[in-house]
Amino acid sequence: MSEAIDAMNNEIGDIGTDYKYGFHDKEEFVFKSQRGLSREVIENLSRMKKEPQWMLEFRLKAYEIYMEKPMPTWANTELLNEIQFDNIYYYLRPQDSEKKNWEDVPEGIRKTFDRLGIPEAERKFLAGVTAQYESEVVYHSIREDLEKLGVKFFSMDQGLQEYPEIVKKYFGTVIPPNDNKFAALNSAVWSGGSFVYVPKGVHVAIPLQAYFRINAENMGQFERTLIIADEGSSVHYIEGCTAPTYSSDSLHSAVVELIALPGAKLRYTTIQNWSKNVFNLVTKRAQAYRDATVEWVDGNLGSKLTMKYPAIYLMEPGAHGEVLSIAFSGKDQHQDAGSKIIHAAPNTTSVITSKSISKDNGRTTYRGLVKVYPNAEGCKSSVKCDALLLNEGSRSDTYPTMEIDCENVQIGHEATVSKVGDEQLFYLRSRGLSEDAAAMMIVNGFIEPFTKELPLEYAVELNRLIQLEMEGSVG
Amino acid sequence: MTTIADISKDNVSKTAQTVGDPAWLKANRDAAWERYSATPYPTRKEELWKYTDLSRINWGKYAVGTTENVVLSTLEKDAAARGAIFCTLADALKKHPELVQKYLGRNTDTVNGKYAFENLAFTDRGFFCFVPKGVKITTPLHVETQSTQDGATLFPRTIVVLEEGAEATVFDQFTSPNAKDGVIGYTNARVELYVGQSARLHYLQMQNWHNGMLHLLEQHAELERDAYLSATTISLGGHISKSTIAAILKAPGAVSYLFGLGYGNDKQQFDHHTMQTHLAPNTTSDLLYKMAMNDRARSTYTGIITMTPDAQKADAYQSNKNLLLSKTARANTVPQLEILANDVRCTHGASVGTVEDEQLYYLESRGLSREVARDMIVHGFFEDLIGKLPEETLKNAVRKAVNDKLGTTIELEDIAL
Repeated sequence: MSEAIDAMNNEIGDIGTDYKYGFHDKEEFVFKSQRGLSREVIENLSRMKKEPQWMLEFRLKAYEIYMEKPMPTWANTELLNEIQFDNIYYYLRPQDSEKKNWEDVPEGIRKTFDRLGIPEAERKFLAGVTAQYESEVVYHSIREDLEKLGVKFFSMDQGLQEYPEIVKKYFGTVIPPNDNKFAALNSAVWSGGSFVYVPKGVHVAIPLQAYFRINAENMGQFERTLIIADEGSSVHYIEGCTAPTYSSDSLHSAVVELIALPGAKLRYTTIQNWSKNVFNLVTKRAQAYRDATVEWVDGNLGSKLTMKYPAIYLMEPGAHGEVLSIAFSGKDQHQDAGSKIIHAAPNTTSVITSKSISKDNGRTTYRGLVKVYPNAEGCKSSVKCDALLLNEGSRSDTYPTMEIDCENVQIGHEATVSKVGDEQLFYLRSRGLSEDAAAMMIVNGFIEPFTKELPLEYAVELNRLIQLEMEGSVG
Repeated sequence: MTTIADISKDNVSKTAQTVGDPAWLKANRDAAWERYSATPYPTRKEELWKYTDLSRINWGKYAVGTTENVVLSTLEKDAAARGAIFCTLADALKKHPELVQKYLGRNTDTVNGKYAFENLAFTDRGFFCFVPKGVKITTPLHVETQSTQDGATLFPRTIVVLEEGAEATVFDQFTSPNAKDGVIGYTNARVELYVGQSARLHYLQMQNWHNGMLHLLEQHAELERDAYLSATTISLGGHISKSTIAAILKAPGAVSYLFGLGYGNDKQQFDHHTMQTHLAPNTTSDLLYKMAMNDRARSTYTGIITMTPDAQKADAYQSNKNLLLSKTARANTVPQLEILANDVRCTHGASVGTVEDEQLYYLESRGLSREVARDMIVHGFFEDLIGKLPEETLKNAVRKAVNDKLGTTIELEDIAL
């Protein structure tokens, strides 16, 4: 027993404070657009992608909206105003075309993935890997059985080329460009991301996965994901991010649209671990129709500032939405996350569970909205937020909003903020654990409701990351 | 006739004359007037005014310079002999100008911006309660600020000061006895509570204005070491009623309880904003706001617990419960936490629900009509909060006011436990 504990303590002691994935490859680009954004940049980008005219028009209109929209005046405006929009590359493409086989992927890029330990260990288990390196898809494979089921899983660009009518029907319907400044920016310059269409009644047994990465300095990544689960189908999509550390700030502004048609079940899992100089400002929203279920499983570990509020619009009776999230803020980080549930129809239900941990001078914020429209009778919603503060100087905020315009409902909200309990620590230490190991165990227990929803390899990776972050954190 | 719409600096001087201002107070008013005229009205874009829209209020309907009654109960002889003071603001300014100067406007915190400056510039009535060191007043002190005139404007100010170890119970009531239907009015009140070291203050505030009143109120309480405050806000009247209630725990050991009760019908709008601000370690605060809304009434609750980095080992709780009694009633609730200290315990909760069919069915099966059953449930909903008030007479005053508002056939004896 004690040997095992010593080994565990040693392991924890060995962990460095540097960002583990903070290496970066030499940049190799086929095309590199200019810094900053203009109509010409967008026209060039659209031409190079050989997009239909309507998409170019969509982009240009979004660009106009982006120019008009003011910056948000809420959340962490101090950090937000640090973003230098003119100093960002809005489009980069590392290769001319997508490669079908892993062996064809350039060695430098493959090495990056190897160091992250992703493909060799997991490739066989993955349904299809869409590894986004820079702004476009470099590796893409779909297992044959998925193809046989008729599941369409492409990069967004390829989806647009091959299924323009499906894309045109749904693209930008859940999140229109005028939703907010960053959604408008993404709509104007989006590149990459995933397109998934699951046909009626098809159950995708294996999670679909995609890794997104940022590599070039000052490089914005504006991926765009659209997932449509047709009637009675089910699918689980997993997105994970790690990015190398760079000295100057970089911006990630994605838009993710999910549509769960009647009876469908759609789960979207993300763990973002952007390096600590990235602004992660994303808009994620889902629509759930009659008896459909949408679940967001959302982990926020990295980035300098994250503003992310996965939303679910419950459009028709019987729809159900769930958001399960954790946020971890270390030194100089601010995780401003939360969720939005809109009960637009009767007998819809929702659950939000949010867990956050703040360490050093890190700050976590839960910002949420539960809205019940008139006539949305029989709605039930439960919101639970728990926050752990590990040191003096760490900060936690909770800003839930509930707007209830209907009588026959049950809405509840609960939140607690506390530190790691002295009694808990004392108990574990009396069993022979070091203070760090005990704190680690308590934190693991705290986020357990989240990790148990993850596929095994993700749960292991998450635990490893939290362990890294937790070193010497009891204060 | 001068109204709020065309109010000018002359009105500041006139008010100062009527109240009988010493020079320092007049100077304070002039400073507040400058800020008032330089500040625009808040808009719905501001977080605290998101749910209460006053942009369509016709300020030309409210005449300034209204005289109406402020009725005070009598102070116990013992306490008076030992230096306690309980009188109108104008009397206090005449008899105890130095003491009033020490406290009036000591707290200049303003959340309501222009409206707060308006009260500071035009304070025209109110009362001053001072309890010196070690004096304990057993009988509740009762103040009734009345308004029945059409188009009346009131700028009341409440100042309660408890020195070290003092104790008192204050019942601050805003009411419209026998007001005619259809009258309108505007009240913009400010309340300042200073609870000294180890002092205990029970402060109960109830507004049961006529339904034409626009009621704005901003209340700040400062708590010193080991001070105890229980501040209750009862909101029943007015067509729009917005109260901002703050408890500032300045020194270790301070304990604050904030309670709120509201019952709305017709198209009434209630908006309560609370602040529990922990500036020192080992401070405790608790909050319970219960709102029941009927017809097209709407309740908004926004509250924030702030724990500064110094507030280690602080403990705070905040709970807002809403009962919706009709299909068109509404409730917004935004309970917030801002925690900058790590060794704290902080919890909040909010709920919105309706009267359950099982409860109604049970009561109906005991022979009650549906209406009476529902009113009983409303009484029951409020009872745990009323139970926290200090005196039986005060509990009954609140029960009666709620019962009158419900307009039921329920006898008070049936609900008083």
